This record gives sequence, C-alpha cells and structure tokens, in this order.
Amino acid sequence: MTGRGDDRSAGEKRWRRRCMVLLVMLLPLVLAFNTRENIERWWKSRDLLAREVAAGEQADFGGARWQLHALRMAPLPAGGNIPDNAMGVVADFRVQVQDADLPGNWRGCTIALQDGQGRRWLPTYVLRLPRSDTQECVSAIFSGAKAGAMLRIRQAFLVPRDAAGALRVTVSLLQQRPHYLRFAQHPRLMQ
Amino acid sequence: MKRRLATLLLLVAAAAVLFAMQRSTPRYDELTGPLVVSGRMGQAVRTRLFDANVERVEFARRLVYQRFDRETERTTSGLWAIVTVELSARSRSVNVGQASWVGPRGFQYLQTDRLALAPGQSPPAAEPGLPRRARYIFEIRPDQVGGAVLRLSERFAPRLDSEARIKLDALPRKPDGALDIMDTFDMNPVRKEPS
Amino acid sequence: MRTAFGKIKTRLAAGIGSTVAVGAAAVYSVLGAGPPPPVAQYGAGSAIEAGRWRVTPQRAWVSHKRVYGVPIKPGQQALVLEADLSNRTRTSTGSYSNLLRLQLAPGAKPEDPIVAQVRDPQIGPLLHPGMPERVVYVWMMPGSAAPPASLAVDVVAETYKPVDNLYGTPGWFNPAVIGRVTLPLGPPPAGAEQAS
Repeated sequence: MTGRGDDRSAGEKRWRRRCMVLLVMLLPLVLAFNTRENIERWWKSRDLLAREVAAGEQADFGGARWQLHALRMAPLPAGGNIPDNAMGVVADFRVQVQDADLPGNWRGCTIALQDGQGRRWLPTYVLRLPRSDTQECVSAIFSGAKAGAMLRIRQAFLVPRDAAGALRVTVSLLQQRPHYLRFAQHPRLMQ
Repeated sequence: MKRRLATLLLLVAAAAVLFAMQRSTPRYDELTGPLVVSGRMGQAVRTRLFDANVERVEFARRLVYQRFDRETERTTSGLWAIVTVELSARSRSVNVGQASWVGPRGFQYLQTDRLALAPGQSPPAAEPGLPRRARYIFEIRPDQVGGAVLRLSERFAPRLDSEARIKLDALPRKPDGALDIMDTFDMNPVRKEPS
Repeated sequence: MRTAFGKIKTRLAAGIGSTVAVGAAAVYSVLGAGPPPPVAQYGAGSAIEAGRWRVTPQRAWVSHKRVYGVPIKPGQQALVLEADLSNRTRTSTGSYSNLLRLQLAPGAKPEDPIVAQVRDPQIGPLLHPGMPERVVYVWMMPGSAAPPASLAVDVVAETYKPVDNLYGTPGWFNPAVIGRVTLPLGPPPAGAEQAS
C-alpha cells in the first residue's frame, strides 16, 4: 500500500511541476493575445518614426509625392492677436497626387513645426496671408484632385523668435502613423 | 454560544465592510474623468498641456463694444464676470477653449455665447514659447461670486486629461470691503496712438 | 430522504412565484385599461415645472416680418410664442427646442422651432442656472395656410436620473407630455418686429 502511495504522490508532484511551468509560459501568451489590439492601436496612434527628407528632395507619403517648396519666416508687428517676440513662418508644399483617394489617404493631415526639444507648433489662423492659389491640407482633401495633379499646400505658424531658426516641418497622416515625414530644411529669413 | 456570537459579529462586520466598499466605488465617469489640478489666483497652475495663471477678475453690469461704428451693449439679469488668464503652452499648440465658472454650491456657468460678434474674441490658442493673455466672460448670478472656482481645459468634460481648477479668491473689492462692480466694461481694443 | 414539506406544500412553494407574477400582470392590465388621465391645461402667465425648465408662457402672435432677429422668408408666416424660461439644472444648457411641441390641425407636421432671446438678437442662446430669460419660440408656416384660432403647444418634460443605466452618469431622460398650453393669438407687440 505504501509503495503504491509513494508512486502516486511522486506522479502528482511531477504533474504539478509541469503545470506550474506551463502556467508561467501560458500567462504572458494570454496577456499578449488579449492586448494585441490595444498595442496595435497604441502603436498606430502616435508619430514615432520620422522619415527624414533632405533639403530639395521629394518623398512619397500617403499616396502623393511631397516636396517642401519654401519655408520662410518673417518677423511680425505685435498688436492685436499677435504677441511680442513672435515670428511668422509659412511652409509651402508642392504635392503631386499619385493616388486620387485623398479622403482616405490624407485623413487627419497635420502639418506642424518641430524643434529639437520635441515642442510642436500647429498651424495658426491669426496671420492674414494674401490670397493665392494655395490651400490648407485639410481643405485639399476635399478638392477632388485626380492622380497626377499638382497641389499647392500652404500653412502658417506663429513661433517664438529665438526658436524660429532651428525648426523643421513635419507632415503626419493618420493612416501612415507611426511614420511621419520630417523635412531637414530650416526656415529662411525673408526681408 | 460565544462562538455563535463571534461568528455573527464577524458576519455583520464583513457585511459592513462590503457595503462601504460598494458605496465608495467610483463610477465610470469618475474613473475616466478629468485629472484635476488645483490652484489659486496669481500662481501658475501646471497641467499636462498648458500653464494657467489667473491674473484678475472683474465684474460689470453691462458690456459695450463697437460694431460697424455702432455702439452695442449687452445687459444681463445677473452680473458679467470677466476673467483674465495668462496661458502658456507646454509642449504643443493648445486651444484652451473650455472654461466654466463653478459657484460655491456647484452651479456651473459656461462661457457666454452672446459675444460672438464682439471685437477681440479670438479663440484662446496658446503656442509653446509664446505666452498670451486670454479673457473668459461669464454671465453669473450675483450670489455665485464668492467661493467660486474657474475650470479650464482643452476639451469639454475632459476624459483622462487634465483640468485646471483655480480658486477665485482675490476678487476686486472697494475700500469698504464690498464687491467692486463696474457699471460698464468696454470691450473695444485699446487703440494705439499713431506716432 | 423525505421531502421537507410533503407533496402538496412543495407544489405550493414552487408555484408561488409564478402565481404572484400572473396575478400582478392581471392587476396591471385591469388598472391600465381605463381612460387615460386628463392632460393638465395651462394658460398665459402660469409657471409650469417641466423637468429641466420652468416655463411661463406669456403671449402668442402671428408674424410676417422679422421677429427678434429671426428672419422670416417672404411668403412664409410664423407662429410666435413668448415665454420666460428658467434653467433648473446645475449647468448652463441650450436644450429647450424639444420643450414645447406645437399642435396644429391633425395631419400638419410642424417644423422644429427656432428659439431667440428677447434681450439681444441671439438665436439659441445658452441659458444659465437660476437666471430666467424671456425667449420666443418661432414656428414657420407657409404663408398660404390659415393660422389657427389659438396656439396649442404640448409641454414636454424629462426626468432626472442621477445614475443612468449605461454609463452611470447623470442625465435627463424619458420625455413625456405633462401639459398643454393654449394661448389666443393676438397682435404682435411693439418692438418685436424691428429690423435689427
């Protein structure tokens, strides 16, 4: 009787150990499986990986070829809505549309200025720019441009004077996240 | 007998603890609600996206402004409260568009929408490195003046984002201690003299 | 093992729940089959507690020109009801379009009212807690239709639930008609029809 009991308890101990080891392996797998959608959504919701574009070059992004045509800065007179020590920066893009599905590809189009410390300036509506044939990125989505058309996109920003020289333009689209475009050109002072 | 009594007492204690736990569990909107940062007037209240410093509060019975060279006035059955706040953005451009005046008993007065055509009512957008002054105007009942709190946030009813709640404790007072209420508050921008 | 209660008592104990349920359903249907309770009638000047709002209708008229800043297209006329609204909730709110429901002749479907403030030419203002304001409800009608003899509107009130069933947040639910306001249509008051 005792012999059989020993065998049984040894067998039980062995199985218990195996189960513990399997549990340690299974729990992280289950966790990963349950949260994989959340992880994917987190990864795709941030601008994490920059694709650098050198000065004068073009980049394919979101079904179009983007080129930074001009990045100019000009000091502004203070008064009204414009604070002291502000500098106006205007970014001009020439974009050649390759995939005409702009509402799908360019959803959440955000053009921003970024400095070395990670601060971001979004477009401002305080500057009165002269009327031209350019449009903003969000209105370009609904312009109905066909493949091969050349769009001119312009955005204006209000930045502090001392930080204006070291800024770079970034273009971010919801569908392309976590990748975003970063143009290496710094703003040029306009007289 | 003693053992039965002890068991009964233990049961009652357990029931009381469970009841307290059930009653004090925060609900969904508290769990996912705003992350409150409190402060007082005159100090910079730091939230995730912006710093807010309430500089002054003014009260008036009516507001006047010029529109198309005509003087327009806005009256109210209560008081106009004009709060001037210095905003600075921390890491990105932020539009601190939601402001409300919460009275001592919890009445929440949202920003007035009767001044859409008045001059100088630009959206309170702050850019990093460029602090600016914003003005929030409320229409409140006169008894909601003391012990009020200003709530500032980027979105209405922020979910898991910061909300600045600033106690409005430095109200303008006359020398005799009564509240200083202007008759008319001029909203026209100060015209710079041509030099 | 013997059953605890014996056969008949067991059957009774098992059947009590269903018996009570059937009995309650029968009682409800008997009670609910009578005529519906009469709707309360209100006239001018009576303060009506309608959930979120306290409404005091003042007067009504038919307008053909611009009324308190609400433009009226040529060829249309407007039924206008002037009332004092007081916000009884804790927060400033602007949801009063569903408060008054116009009752026209059966078959006609009235449009949603445009609500304007009497103090300024402001359409759809926010109304703040504890600060009553006078507003006008404007219902557009084609100019060819004959206006009714008197204006009948149903007052719709919602009830407050501190904890709702879905998110546990407070809110106002279950709109129900609590009364009817009947006002004679008079001449438009002076000052209402200025072109501002």
